Amino acid sequence: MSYSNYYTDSQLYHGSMSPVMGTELDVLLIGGEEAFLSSVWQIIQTEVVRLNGLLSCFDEDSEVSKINREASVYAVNVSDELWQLLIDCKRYYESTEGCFDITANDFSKVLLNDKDKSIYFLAETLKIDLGGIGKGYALKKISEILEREKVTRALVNFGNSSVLAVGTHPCGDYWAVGIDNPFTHERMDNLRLHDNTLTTSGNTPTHPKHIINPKTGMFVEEHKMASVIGPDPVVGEVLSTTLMVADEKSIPSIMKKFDLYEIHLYKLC
Amino acid sequence: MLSEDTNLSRRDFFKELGMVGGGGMMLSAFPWLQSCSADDKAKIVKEKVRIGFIGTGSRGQFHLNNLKSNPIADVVALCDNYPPHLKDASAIFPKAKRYVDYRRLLEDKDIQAVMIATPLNEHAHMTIESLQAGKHVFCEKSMAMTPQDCLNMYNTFKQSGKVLFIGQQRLYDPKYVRVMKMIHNGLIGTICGIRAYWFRNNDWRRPVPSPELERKINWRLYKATSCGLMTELATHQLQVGNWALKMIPETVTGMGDIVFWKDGREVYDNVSLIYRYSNGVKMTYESIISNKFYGLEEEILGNKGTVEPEKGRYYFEDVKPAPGIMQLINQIEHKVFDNVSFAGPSWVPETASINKGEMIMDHMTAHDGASSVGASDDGTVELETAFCEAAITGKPAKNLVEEAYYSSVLGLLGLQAMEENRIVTFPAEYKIPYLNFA
Repeated sequence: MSYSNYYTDSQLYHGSMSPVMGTELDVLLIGGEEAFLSSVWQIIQTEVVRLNGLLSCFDEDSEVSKINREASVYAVNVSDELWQLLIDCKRYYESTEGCFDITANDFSKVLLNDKDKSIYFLAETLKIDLGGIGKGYALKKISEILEREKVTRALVNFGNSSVLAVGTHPCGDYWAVGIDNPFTHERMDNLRLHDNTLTTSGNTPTHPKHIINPKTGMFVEEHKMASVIGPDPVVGEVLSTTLMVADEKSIPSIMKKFDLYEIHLYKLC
Repeated sequence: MLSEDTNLSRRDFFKELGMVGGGGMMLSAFPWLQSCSADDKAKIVKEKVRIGFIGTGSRGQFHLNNLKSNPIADVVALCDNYPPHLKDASAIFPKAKRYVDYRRLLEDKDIQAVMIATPLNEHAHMTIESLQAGKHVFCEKSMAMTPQDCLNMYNTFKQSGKVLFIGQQRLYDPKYVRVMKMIHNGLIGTICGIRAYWFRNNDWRRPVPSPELERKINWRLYKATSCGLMTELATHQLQVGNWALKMIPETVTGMGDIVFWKDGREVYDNVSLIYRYSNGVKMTYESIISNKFYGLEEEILGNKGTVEPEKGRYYFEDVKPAPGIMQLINQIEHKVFDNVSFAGPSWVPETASINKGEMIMDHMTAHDGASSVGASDDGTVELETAFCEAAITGKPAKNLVEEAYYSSVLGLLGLQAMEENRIVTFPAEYKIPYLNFA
């Protein structure tokens, strides 16, 4: 379901859809006639619905669901788009020293054969879940749409955890985004976004246990939160999850490989 | 009873509306709010308008108590033909001259402005005579007992070049001003219907010291002095419907009866009406004063959402934008640049079937509508101050009388429809150059 409204005075188009990828999407597009911005919103909606169908573990007909049903029996051929994502996930698994793992178990048991672009699971119980980067990937695609359509000012909020900022706030030199402590609702930080993305992972009072440490198989239960600012929203998802999982000593060596990304770690109480 | 008791000063009111820091948008949308420019305000800061107050009953004393702490108001004369009320008022403004006959008060050249809070049947001639005497006038709503009297008041105002205010305080209530802007911005989509109501459970009577004073004290209950619920309550809410839709209804029908308070009163204690606008939208209006459960509201129903301005809330139909996003939009609309917090760990939207809605603004006051005198923070103080400012500068508040005129006439046409048991069409001769009429 979706909601939209155009604010003539500030040439602001607001589109909202929910539920999608388990959360809600809010898009603010600024600068343009209603008909034009509305057409951009239509393109975004169509794309997000398509990605949901590609990546969702909840949708039985999605390509990911098909893989999870069949890849432990035989090698499953994968579409070009999903193939590229899986290759990226493998790369992120390696560069994060195993902290980012779409199997939440042991990615080394996933065989990716680049000759026929197929995937095979070496363990029967293995499953992949792209939910961890789904919103980031959607933001990347939305960012491409906005660039193609020449929308130069926009703020896209995907479930609060993934934010894309294009250009600046109409009255400022950046987009100003406050970060609240989900336990106390007190403001912890004010971040500046400008043609980049902000990704946040953390535990909240309503969702205290939802991130699995693939190395231990246990939920991360500490009251903490990690925010990442940088150019690629998919990398943002990878790093914010990694920061929740990694032990403090290994963070510097991992982050050395991602020098374009600014990280913020918050202890919550 | 206040559901959230927070004092909102006039400065905060303008700040809340985004008028500070370059937000001129609100002013162009609601021209009566700009009766006093910032320059004017600076000029008159040390002035006081000399007010003669006519009608010092309960509503009158409510105003007088407000005016006592208003730095630009000085009540120099009081008038009432009921001695106990005049005495009460003198206790509030001991130095003010006392009059029994308002005509003598109008002869006082020292008085610049008069405020009228008398029974309804006195409004028209007192307002007209005051304007003709060269005074600026504040008259309580509703305007008058007949559409013709309302028109006479309007025409006299236009010819006089003086300031006229009618006590429609919702026009100055911050939550109304803000939500109307949101409605006009398309927040709830196309308005498809309005359901307005005001329910109380009391007999609407005041204690009478001796029987011959019954009609004087309880003027609200008798047809010679009152039009009942339509002029005392409905006018406030009919104005809200017109304000939201930016037009006036073409026809009205309804039924009125005395159902519960069969105590010799002449005006209905139970009314139910339908106002129809030219686009087919209907505004229903109900008032019953023998059950108070639903209080008062003007439910504004759009295809994308619903507004309840009295409660200060609005509701989305299906998708509710993430917390913080509406705040960010509001800031952009008012050219404000500030941190908005919405980023955080992934958020799962509420799936509860109860839609609790969103607050129109922070620091709001909502009322249950039980008081027949007045409630704090409902826009009355802002309205009084705006009148005093306008009386000092001599500049009328744009469109304010027009808004009040239509809501007064619509209340009276509704009464006519009920009394004659028919559909009444808005008469062409009572249309003025405002809203959809050139």
